[in-house]
Amino acid sequence: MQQPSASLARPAGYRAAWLACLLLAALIFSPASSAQEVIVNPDVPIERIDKSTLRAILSMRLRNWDNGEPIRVFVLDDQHPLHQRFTRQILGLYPHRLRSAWDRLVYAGLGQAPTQVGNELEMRTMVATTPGAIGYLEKDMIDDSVREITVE
Amino acid sequence: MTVFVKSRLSKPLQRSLVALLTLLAGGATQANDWLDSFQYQGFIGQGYIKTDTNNFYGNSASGSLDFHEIGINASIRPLSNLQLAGQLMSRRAGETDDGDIRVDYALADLNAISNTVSQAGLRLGRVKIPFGLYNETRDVPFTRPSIFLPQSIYFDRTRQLALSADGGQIYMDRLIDDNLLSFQLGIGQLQTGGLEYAVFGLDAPGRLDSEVSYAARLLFDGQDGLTVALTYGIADLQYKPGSPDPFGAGDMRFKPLVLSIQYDAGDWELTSEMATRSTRLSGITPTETRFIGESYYLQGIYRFNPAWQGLMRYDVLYTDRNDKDGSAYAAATGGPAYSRFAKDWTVGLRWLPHRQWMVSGEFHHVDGTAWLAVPDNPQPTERIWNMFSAEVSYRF
Repeated sequence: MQQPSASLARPAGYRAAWLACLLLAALIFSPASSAQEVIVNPDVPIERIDKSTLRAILSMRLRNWDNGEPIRVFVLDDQHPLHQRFTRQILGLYPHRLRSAWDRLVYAGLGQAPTQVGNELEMRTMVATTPGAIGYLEKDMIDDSVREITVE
Repeated sequence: MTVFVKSRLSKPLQRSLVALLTLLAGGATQANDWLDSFQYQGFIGQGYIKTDTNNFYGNSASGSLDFHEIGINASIRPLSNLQLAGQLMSRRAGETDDGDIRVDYALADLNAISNTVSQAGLRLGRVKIPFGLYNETRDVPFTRPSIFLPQSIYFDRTRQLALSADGGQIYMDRLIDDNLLSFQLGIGQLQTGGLEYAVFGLDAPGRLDSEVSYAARLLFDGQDGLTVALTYGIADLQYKPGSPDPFGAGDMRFKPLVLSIQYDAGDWELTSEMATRSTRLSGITPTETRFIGESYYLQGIYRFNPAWQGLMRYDVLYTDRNDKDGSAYAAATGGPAYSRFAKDWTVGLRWLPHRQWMVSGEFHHVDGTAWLAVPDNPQPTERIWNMFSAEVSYRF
């Protein structure tokens, strides 16, 4: 009995290793955007946003939506893992570059800094209750109080 | 206090601000929204400077704590197309800055076009001068790469001229593909308090006052980390002599042109800025004085991790590009040739233990004294000198 089970165990072990590799590859190469999403207040009149506009908004370079309503940007702390992932993977920017863009506006009187929230729950509440708000959340944190938009 | 008095806003400006405030009152229906937009920020920095021979920012040869920078700013957006912002500063730097509270900027920003592709508008009041990469926030420790900005471009000895102008500024930002193109044109009166000493090398009895001056900057901010900017400025000053005065009534025109290039690859960042500055004095000295200065620096920053970064820079200034070694100047005036150039090697280390705290240290090895402030150095200077400095900064 030992002989067959050993011969069966071998291919099964390979299969498991292959599966593990595939899973790992899937994890590494899967579109990062699936983990975190851009969210807006339900009154914001857009369904999708292109990356360059999103970057300009998060850099606080654009102030109003196309309907004239002020854009209100909400972010987590620079060191927050979600903020780090969002800026690197969705915006394609380093968190220090975003911070330096805000500093250059604020300390020269040219613009305002985004509003910093303490955690993801607060992020959802603030975006849900502030007209013109934009922020980001983990996919599984998103509910009906905010609207998810597609980044192109 | 004199600096504060001089920094009062001009009459027409006061009138426009009052008009704007009246406009604000009309928009009061949005009370909640616009109060929500209020925000403030501030910073405090305290420095220490030790030089071996010449003085920089105080009596640094015997160790100087005569360097602090404190600022607080606030902004509010009462209407979707109007932002008001202001910053008060106190800065002490040896004999060149006395620590008096001054208005760094105070402006109304009227947004004429604003959508998700572009924005354009007008800023009125006391507006920071767009110049190179660092000028607008030059006194804010967290926005500088080092404790002292490269002095060849960002002179501290004639810094008043570069700070802010009372007048207006047109701005335009536009997204082009993935890049941001930004243009600013400012027109206004420059600040000139105490400038005579820096320009003439002695405390001249008369006064240098600003005429209407201009600065324009075109900046390309590429999202792959490349930033390129071109700045051009015309500063017009008028000298009114005292009596008696070795200098006559006349004009001074200063025209800087700066090319800035920066590439930020995330872990490391490379920056270079090159400038020429033409200066013309007519009427002030018996014969018209004209010279063109030249400067450049190359700077590299490496971020070891989010908390630690290192810096290396080579910074060169020639007061007169036709007399780089200063020999003609020395022959004509008897002054030291080395006071017409400065070549500064800098290495620095920065620690950011917390989002609100920063500790910087740097070492300079300098050949030449072209950017040293005369009031800090009444004694004879040395050509080769070294400087160590440290600064602790906090922000809120």
